Amino acid sequence: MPGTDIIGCEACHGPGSLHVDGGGDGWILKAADLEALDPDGRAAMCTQCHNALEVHFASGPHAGTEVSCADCHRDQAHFGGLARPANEFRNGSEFCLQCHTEVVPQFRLSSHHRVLEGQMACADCHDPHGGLDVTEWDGLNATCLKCHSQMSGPFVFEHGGVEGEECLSCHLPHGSQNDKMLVQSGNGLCLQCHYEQSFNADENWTLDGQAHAGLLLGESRCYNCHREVHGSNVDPTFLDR
Amino acid sequence: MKTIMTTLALILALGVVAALADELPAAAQRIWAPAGDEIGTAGHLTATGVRNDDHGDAARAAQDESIQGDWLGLGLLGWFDRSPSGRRVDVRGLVGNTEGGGLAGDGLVRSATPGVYSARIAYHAHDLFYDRDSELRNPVFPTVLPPQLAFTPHLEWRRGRADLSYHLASAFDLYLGADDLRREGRKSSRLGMNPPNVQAVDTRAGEFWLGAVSKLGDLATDVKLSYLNTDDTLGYATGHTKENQRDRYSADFDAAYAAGNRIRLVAAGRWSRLENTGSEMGVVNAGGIDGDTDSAAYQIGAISRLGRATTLRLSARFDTHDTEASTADGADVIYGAHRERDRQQYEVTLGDRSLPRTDLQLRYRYTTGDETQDQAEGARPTDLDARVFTLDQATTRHDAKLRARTRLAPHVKLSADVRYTSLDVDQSRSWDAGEEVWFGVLGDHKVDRTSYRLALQTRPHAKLPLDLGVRGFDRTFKRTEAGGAETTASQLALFANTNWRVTPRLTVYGMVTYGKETYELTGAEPAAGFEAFNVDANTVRFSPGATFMATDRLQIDGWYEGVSFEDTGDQAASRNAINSDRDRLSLRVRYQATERLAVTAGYARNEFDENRWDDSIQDLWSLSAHTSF
Repeated sequence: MPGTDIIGCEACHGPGSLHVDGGGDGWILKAADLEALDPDGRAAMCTQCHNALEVHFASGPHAGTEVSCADCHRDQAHFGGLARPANEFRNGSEFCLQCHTEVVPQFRLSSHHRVLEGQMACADCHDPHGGLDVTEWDGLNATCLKCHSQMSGPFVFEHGGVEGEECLSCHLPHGSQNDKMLVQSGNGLCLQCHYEQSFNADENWTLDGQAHAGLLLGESRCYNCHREVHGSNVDPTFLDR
Repeated sequence: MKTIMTTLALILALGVVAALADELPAAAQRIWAPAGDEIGTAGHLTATGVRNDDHGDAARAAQDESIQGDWLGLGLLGWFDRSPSGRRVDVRGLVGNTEGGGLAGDGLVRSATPGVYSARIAYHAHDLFYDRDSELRNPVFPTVLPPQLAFTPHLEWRRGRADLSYHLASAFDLYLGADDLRREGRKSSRLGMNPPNVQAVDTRAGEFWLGAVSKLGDLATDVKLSYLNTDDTLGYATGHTKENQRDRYSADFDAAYAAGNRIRLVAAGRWSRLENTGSEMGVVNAGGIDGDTDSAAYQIGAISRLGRATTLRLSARFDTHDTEASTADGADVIYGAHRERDRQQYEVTLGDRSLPRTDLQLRYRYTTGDETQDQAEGARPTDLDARVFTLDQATTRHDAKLRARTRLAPHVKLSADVRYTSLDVDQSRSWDAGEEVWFGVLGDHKVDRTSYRLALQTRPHAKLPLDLGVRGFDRTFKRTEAGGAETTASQLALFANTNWRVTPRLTVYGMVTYGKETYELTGAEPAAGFEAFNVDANTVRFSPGATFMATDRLQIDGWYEGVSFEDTGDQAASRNAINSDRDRLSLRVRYQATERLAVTAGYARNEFDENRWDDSIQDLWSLSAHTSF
C-alpha cells in the first residue's frame, strides 16, 4: 500500500480486515472493479508502489493507449492481459511480437538484427515503459551507439546524417534485403543526397579532377573508397587512406 | 512467383470480407525457432543433435544462418520456482557447440520478491560469420574470384548484463547494473587479401550505472549516474588502423509531480561528457586523436486531463552539444575541428478516447537548431594562424503524427499511424584561405518525408485470425544549389498473417509480405560522361505452414519460406542488377512417448541463390528429446 509496507493481495485489493469487520461487504476492490478502470487508471494502481513507473510510464510510449501494466505483466497481475505470459516465449522479443506482428517480416530479411534468434531483445533498443525522450543530442543515434560505440566519435570529420533521421537515414534496424541493413543497395543510397556524383552539376564535387562516373561502373560502391563514412580523423572525405 | 502473387491476392481478399472474430491478434509464427524448441511456463529441458550438410558457398551460408560445422548440439532449459513468500526464480538457458569446440548460447537467471528486490543476470555468447563486406567487390581493384579467403570471417560476440533493484523503503528504491559487450574477430571481403581487404575488429564496451527512485508525496524522482568505457581497435590490411579509448560520464534526472487529479508535471535532464583518445594511422595521414563532446538536454512537460477521455501533453526541450577534436602527429596538428550546436524543440500532443472503442492521438513538434562548425588543416580552429573552413547551419523542422486505434467490431481492430516531417536546412560556408574548398557540404536543402502504417487485425471465422497491413514511406530530398533537382525514394511493405485452426487437429498458418522500394532523380539531366540511374526493387516473401496432430501422440509440422528480391530499375552504368532468392524448408515429426517425454525428428533446408555469388545450401537433419518437469 502506498506509504506503508503492505504488499500482497491488500496492496491492490484493499484492507481485508476492514472487509471482514464489515461483514464481508465493502472496502475491497474486486477483479471486476479493477478491470473496469480505463488503462490509465489500471496503470495508476500499479504505479502507487512501482515508483520508477510513477516517474516514467505516464509519458512513455504505451501511455494513452489501450495497453496498461497488466496487459503485459499478466502472470504477475493475475488479471486482464492482451498478451500471453512472457515465460511462454523463448525470449522477450517473441513476447512483444504478439502485438507488433508487422515487424516479423522485417526480421526475416537477409540482413537483420538477430532478435528473433534471441541474441538481442526489443527492449535493447525500445523502452516499453519509456518516459520523456531526453537522450543525448544524437537522439536515436544514442540507441545505436550503445553497442556500435566505434561509430560514436567524436570525429574531426563527421558525416552528418539527415537531421532527425540520423542512423536511420541509411540503415533499417529491423532488417533489410541489402547488406548492412542498408535502406537501398549499392550507390542508390548515397546518391539520394549526393546525386551530383551521378551528373556533373557542381564542379566542386569533381574530386581531384576525377570523374566519379567511371568509378561507379559495375559493382563499384561509393564506400569502396569512402569507407570511413561514419567519420574520420584523417581524411575530410572519409577515404580509407 | 505466380503462385505467390495468387496466394497474396487470396489472403488480401479474405481481409475484405473479414467478419466477427474471437481473441486477437493472430499468433505470431515461431518458424525461426530450431527443431525441438519447446518452451512453456512449466520446467522443461530439451537436447537436440543436428547434422549439417552444406554445399556451395559455405561462408555465405554461415553468414546468413549463423550455423557452421558438421555436427551441432543444442540444449534448452527452463526452470521456474515460486516460493510461498512470493519469491520467484527463473532460470532459462540455451547452449550449443561451435565449430571451434567452444560453446555459444544465452543464459538468464532472474529472481524477484515483490516489494523487496528484483535481480537479473544474463549472458549471451555467439559466434557470427561475417562476410558483410561482399558489396565492396570492386573491379577497379585486382580481383580474385570468391571464395579465396584463407579463413572464414568470424566474429565472437559476447554480452553480459546484471542488474538489481532493491526496495529500501516504501518510497525509495535503489538500482544498479553493469553491461559488458565485446566483439572480436575478422570481417572480410571476398577479395581476399586485396583491398578493401580484411577488417580486424576488437571492441569492448562496459557500462555501469547506479540510480535511485524516490516518491515523496506527489513528487516522484529518478536520478541515475552512469559511466561508459569503450576500447576499440579496428584495422584494415591496407595499413589503416584505429584505436580508441572512450570514457563517458553521464547523469540523468527525471521527475513527475501530480499537481492535482488532472495535471501531472514532468521534467527531465541529461548531462554527459564523452572523451576519446587514441590514434588513427591512415595510409596518408597518421596521428594521435583527441576529442571530447559535452552535451546537455533539458525537458519539461505537462500532461493534463482535459476531460474524462481527453489528454493534452505539452513539452519543451533544449539541447546543447559542443565538440572539440583534433588529429596531431606529435606537436604538429594535422586537422582540428570545433562544433557548437543547440536545438529547441516544442511539442503538443492531444489524445482522445471519447469516440467509442477508439483511441486517437495527434502530435505536432516544432524544432529549430543552429550549428557552427569550424575545421582547420594544419592547426586547430582556435589557433591564430589556422586556415578555417566554417559551416553555419540553421534548421527548421516540423513533425506531425496521427495515431489511431479503433475496434470496428468486437473482433476487428484497426490501427493506423501517419507521420509527416518537413525539414529545411540553410547552410553558409566559408574558407578563409580563399581556395577551392577541400571538402564539400550539401548546401541549402529540404527534405519532406511521409511515413505510414496501417494494420487490420481481424478474424473472418471464429478459428481464423488474420492480420493485414501496410507500411511505408515517401521521401523527397531537394538541394537548392543543384539547380532544383531532387531525388525521391519510397518504400512500401504489405503483409498478411494468418493462423487458422481448421480442425482441432490441424492448424494452417502463413505470412505473405510484398515490399517495393524505388529511387529516382528528377529535374536534372546527367552531363556528358555521367549517367543517372533509378531503383525499382521488389521483395516478396511467402511463408505457409501447417501443424497436424495425426494421433494424440504424433504431431507433424511443416513450413516453407521463400523470399525473392528483384531490382528492375534502370541499371545504366552505375551498377549491375541484383536478383536473389532465399528458400527455407522445415519438416518435423514429434512423438509424445510418455506424459513427460517427447521426441522430435526434423529436416531443414536453407538455400540462398544470388546472381553475384555461388548458391549456398544447408541441409540440416535433427533429432531432439524434450522433457517437462
